[in-house]
Amino acid sequence: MAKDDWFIVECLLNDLDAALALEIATAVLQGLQKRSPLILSYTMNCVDVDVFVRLRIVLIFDVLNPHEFVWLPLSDFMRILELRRQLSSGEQVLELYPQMSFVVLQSPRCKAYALSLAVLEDPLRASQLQDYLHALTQKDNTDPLISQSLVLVDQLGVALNTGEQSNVAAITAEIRRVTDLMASECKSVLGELSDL
Amino acid sequence: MTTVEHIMYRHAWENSWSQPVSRFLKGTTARDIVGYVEQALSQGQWIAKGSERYQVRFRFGRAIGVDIHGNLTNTIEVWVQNGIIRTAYPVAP
Repeated sequence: MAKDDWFIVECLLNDLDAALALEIATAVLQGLQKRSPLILSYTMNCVDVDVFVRLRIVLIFDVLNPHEFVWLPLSDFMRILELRRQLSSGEQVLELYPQMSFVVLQSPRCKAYALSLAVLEDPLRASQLQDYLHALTQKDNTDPLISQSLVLVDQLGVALNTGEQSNVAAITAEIRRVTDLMASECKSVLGELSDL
Repeated sequence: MTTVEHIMYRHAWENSWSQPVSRFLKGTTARDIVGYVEQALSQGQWIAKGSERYQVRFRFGRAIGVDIHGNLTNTIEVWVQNGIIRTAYPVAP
């Protein structure tokens, strides 16, 4: 995981105390029981956190460095919240991060996968997330799937702004296809880890 | 967005965020915040967070804002990255 990515998860811990960890964990558990396409958003001091409850992923955006973010499986995020409640300092939680699956999910392609999932879940965020995809293409300009995602998300933003519903449906279907193609790399990592 | 704009946007009392975000007290101006940051940088405790980042904390003799839970606090946290001030906000002491 890149230095900037480590910093984001450190920042999350910096913002999180035991009381807030409990509050968020409770809200997520309630969201899981509702089984609806729910997104919980938290504006914190150093990071913005979006919990995509139905997708079971969490996106953490760096406030200090525009267009930097990490994503976590919800299970990792809940474990962090639980550890923060149990342990007296955030530093102790940080030491346990290497045991979690998210550290190997921060490749540009896997990040693009997470962003595409987020766009599919909440198309109105296309314009916001497009900037993050653009930043990923600058980190890895050789991955055609990331470039394709960027173009499609851009088109989706335009179609939504102009109210072209037929285009929205067609573009969304194409984003879903590209997202599925990107999934294999990230899902295989998750699968390998869960087999351990 | 400049750093001061970012701080005012995110941490001014009048912003629309709900908790958990810290805020400076009502009426705090951009000029006040610049003063807080300057004092923190010159008198606060610098903690290295990686090679290019520093977290600076300083306690004032009076309340300057509220922490993420809405409790009054006299402490500021400033983040400096590559020699540039990136953000500043009140935190619990």
